Amino acid sequence: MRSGFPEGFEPERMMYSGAESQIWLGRWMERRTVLKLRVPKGYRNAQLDEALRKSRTAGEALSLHECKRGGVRAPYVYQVNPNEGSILMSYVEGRTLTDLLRSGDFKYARSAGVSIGRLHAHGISHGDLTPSNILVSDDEIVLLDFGLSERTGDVEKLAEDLNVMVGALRSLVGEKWTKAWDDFESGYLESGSSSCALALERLKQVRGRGRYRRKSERRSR
Amino acid sequence: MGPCLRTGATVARALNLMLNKPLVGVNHAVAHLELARIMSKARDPVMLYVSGGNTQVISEVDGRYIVFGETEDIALGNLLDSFARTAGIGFPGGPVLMQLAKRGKRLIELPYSVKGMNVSMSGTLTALESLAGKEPVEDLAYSIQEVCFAMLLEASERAMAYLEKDELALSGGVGANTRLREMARIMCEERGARFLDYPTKFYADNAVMIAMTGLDLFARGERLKVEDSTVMSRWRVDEVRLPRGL
Repeated sequence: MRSGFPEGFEPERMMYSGAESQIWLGRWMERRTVLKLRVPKGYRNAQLDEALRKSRTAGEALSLHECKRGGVRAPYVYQVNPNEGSILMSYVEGRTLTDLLRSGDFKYARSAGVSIGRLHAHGISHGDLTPSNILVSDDEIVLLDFGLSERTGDVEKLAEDLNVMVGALRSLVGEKWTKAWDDFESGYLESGSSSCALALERLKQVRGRGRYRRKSERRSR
Repeated sequence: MGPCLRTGATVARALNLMLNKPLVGVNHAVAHLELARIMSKARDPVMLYVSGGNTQVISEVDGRYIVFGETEDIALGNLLDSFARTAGIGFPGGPVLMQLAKRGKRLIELPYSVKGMNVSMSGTLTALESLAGKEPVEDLAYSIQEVCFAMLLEASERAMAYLEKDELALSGGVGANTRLREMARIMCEERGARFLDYPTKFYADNAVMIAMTGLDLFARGERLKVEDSTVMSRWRVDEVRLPRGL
């Protein structure tokens, strides 16, 4: 048995090897399951590496559970092992928002916004809010990868989620990003939560600097 | 950095008038990336540009450099220099801290902040300034490198995974750091990618990168009149049309 796999997990194949983790598809207790395994990083100081993997694994499992109280769909957690950096969870069939947007299908931008709005209203920031972490399953939005999420009401953190989303949309669909964003934004504000309104306000303030600036305004001789 | 750019611009204008040579405007960051691309012989890399004033994860998409990740507050070089000043090391701090770090053994806990492909360094700096004088400077230097470089490489690896690219090149004065380059090599090896290193004298600011990029722009027909020439200290790479092709 390979180290890091929970007892009784029968791996079928590695679905994805990301920056910090491997995603394995397999069976456990006669269910289709996904195993997220945070593998040690050789470039990182071992002590730092272990601390990061442990705290992120525990934090992710907690967020995966907690978001459901806020009315947001996410995979069900079956087993957590912070020492191995592993989370065993339910498999969700669907297409990513990245896939859909790439193929010109913009109709889920609004419902994605609704889900993120609920998440934020419930006091959770996602931490890596790209369209690749948003799954459309049976016409419903399912959020994935809470590895960098935080349970926080901090407007700055919530605005960072929106910041990452804007950047990802711009790189994904170019000039058409504004259409997807407008739909996303209207869904995002649907819950009427003041946290969401404040986060959006903060994002707009930030537009005046950094990556949002379109023109080089400051010139001098 | 306006003053530095203004000095350079004044010299360039003077040469233009004295020697009657054409004037071409070059974006500093684009020059770094163009030289890194050529020296590293990369085909389609993710580039980590890290210097005193910039910390950005950049890659080319449709004939433009796009910033996928960057620092949300201060650049890593800025952190190194600020901490060096507090610790009484002098300017520039990076090279001295690199030597001190070799004698550091103990990892001191510091804020580690990666947000998607972005990083944040200001909290780390605040923590460091409160630790200066209380912990051995060698251990602090070691911890700065281990923590901050890991943040940069995690952001870079996320960009590589997201963009499905398998080459990494570094640029900028901090990029030349031996430990950072070693960590970049390990990160790439572990994910079956290639770290494309090149002589470190081409990492920090140099005249070749400006001249080479300017020459490409000149060949494309770019010319600038003295009266139109300005410095733009906030001219971002993603606003620049690349000097090659068309």
